[in-house]
Amino acid sequence: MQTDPGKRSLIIHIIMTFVISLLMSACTTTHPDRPPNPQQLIGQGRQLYVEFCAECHQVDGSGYSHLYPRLAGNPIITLHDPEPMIVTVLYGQGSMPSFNGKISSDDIAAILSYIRNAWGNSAAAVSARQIH
Amino acid sequence: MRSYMRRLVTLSMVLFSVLSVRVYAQQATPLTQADTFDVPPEIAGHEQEWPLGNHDYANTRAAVGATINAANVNTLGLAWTAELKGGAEWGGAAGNPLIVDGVVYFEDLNANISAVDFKTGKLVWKKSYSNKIFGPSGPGIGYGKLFVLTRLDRYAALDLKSGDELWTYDTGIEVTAGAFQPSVFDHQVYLATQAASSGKGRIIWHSYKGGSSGVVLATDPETGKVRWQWQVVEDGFWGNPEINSGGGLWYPAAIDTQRGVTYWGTGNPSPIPGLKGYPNGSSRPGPNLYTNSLVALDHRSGKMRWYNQVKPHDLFNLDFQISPILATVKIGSQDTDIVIGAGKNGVVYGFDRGTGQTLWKTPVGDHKNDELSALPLTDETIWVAPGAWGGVETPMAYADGVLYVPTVNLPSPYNATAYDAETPEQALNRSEGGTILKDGNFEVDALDGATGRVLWQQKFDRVGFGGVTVVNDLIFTASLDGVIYALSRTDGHVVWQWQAPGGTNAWPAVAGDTIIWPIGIGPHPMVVALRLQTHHPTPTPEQQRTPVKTPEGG
Repeated sequence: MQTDPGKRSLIIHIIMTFVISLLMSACTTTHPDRPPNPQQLIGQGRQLYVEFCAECHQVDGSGYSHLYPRLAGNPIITLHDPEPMIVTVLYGQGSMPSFNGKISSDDIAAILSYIRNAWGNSAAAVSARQIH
Repeated sequence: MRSYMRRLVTLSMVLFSVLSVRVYAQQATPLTQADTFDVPPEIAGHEQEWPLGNHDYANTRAAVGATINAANVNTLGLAWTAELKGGAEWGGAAGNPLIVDGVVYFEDLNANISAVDFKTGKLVWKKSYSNKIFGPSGPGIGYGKLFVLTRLDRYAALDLKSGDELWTYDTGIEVTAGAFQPSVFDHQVYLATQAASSGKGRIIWHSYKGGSSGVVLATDPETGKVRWQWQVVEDGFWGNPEINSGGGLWYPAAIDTQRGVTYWGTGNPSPIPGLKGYPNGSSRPGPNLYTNSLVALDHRSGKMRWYNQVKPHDLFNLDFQISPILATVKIGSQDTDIVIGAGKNGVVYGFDRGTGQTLWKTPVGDHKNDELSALPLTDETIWVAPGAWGGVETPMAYADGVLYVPTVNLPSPYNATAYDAETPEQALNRSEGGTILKDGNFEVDALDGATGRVLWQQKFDRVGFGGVTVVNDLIFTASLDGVIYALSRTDGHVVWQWQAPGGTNAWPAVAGDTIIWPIGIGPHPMVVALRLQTHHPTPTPEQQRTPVKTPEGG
């Protein structure tokens, strides 16, 4: 059975319109995990860093002796892929505690975004969706 | 009759051990006493080991019968290590092991308890809970059991031989017990809580949750049933239980085994210094009894005999938390029983043990702005010393009429509302988070026990949280980055030092020729045993540094 070319064109048009409208909808809907913007994240992260991290890593990111690693100028902090940082914060390492469940994903993202952009560090912000 | 005979035999053993030991460090409080009160068999007659958190009920931290001294300390070396699990807020360990009948008992900050052979370090048994606790912590021993924290809101009794759990006691989530080393005396186990909550649904430490208080819990060692309890914060929480808290009990009490009285140092009130809308502690008007106090409680009834509050309405986290020390000193021509207290306030006090009257007080370390009664109602930051981790943070020691005091000089930043903090925990974290470790240092001061007069002072160029421990003619202490020092008791000069394979915020137990010290900070937390005439190689993470001696030093 042959399909009428005009009818086939209409079906394709309807399908394409539906797909495009779905894509547009996805692009314009605000996702709750979406970071407000990188600068806002970094600003939130500064205060959270003081409250949860600076006891050991110090407010200037300098760490302490051989015990608490330096974050300022540390190349691991500014890797393109923030995964190593995320894993360390979530699950701990050596004497460092895990923060999984203690701090929300939004707050961890803000802290990591701050650390990656403080004291001369420069790297992309981290979104809550990257925290798993 | 059997009980009488047992006590007689035990008393004879104690007298024999006391008389036969070469005395460098004095026997401040014998570990068996009197007819009235019972001392557990694991403690009675065990002076030459380390059966209590601070060695004895007087909290002297003075080893008896040890063979380590200035002449041989340089032969100390690593005999064995035992693994610790790290990853709690304060690392892998903050507290004191016990040594009883040739077995070392210790707890890490994940509430895992190990029993290892004193000679070899070989594991005897292990009980793992894998729950983060806060610290300082450690086991208590007595009547065939080990008493430990197993999570932030739970204590347990373990069978001493197997580690099997015998009973548990839940403090409840609103009065968390994340940091305490139990002690056992006269068929009673002393447990305690701090000013914190463990939260709902998740076992997470919430410092200074409104309505939480330090509470002394006197419990039955056989069942865990509470016989009496005494709450540090007055009923009503000074008018605002939604916000106010305080009076944490962080360290074991001193126990006068003749009088049947326990002596407790209590922690600070919160919020510190204040919150948005409640600057300078205005949510908690008045002196905030019974925080920052030395409190004497009757062993059997829990009734308060006396209290002496040394810092009313504290704004700056200046706990009076250290384990008090019992001593008998000559004042004039009179032998006088005193109790010595200190804490993060950085002032050491000698009190009359019977009345609580202040006999002397001596400031130690740096003091700046700590006497302010209010901070400006602006965004201004005021630096205060002692800071959040300053003053006398870890245990003191006492021997032969001399008190040894470890003091941290480390200021913290404060603001009247903690920069508009919304919660007490946020206020705390902001002052602690602004504290700069590398700008701090620590010192050991020797004070005359009768007068409080400073005899000598030794300063170090870094911070240290390793307490002090007397071993014959030496004092042992440690810096946070893991350098263990032996100082001369005569003038404080450094006789020996050793870089541990990690950092430490714990303090040791000593018996015979061996020191057992938890090294809980760094990539590989562990317990180390240092023994005379041992020369096993030790990993050295960083070059040793020499302490800086001040002109005032002896």
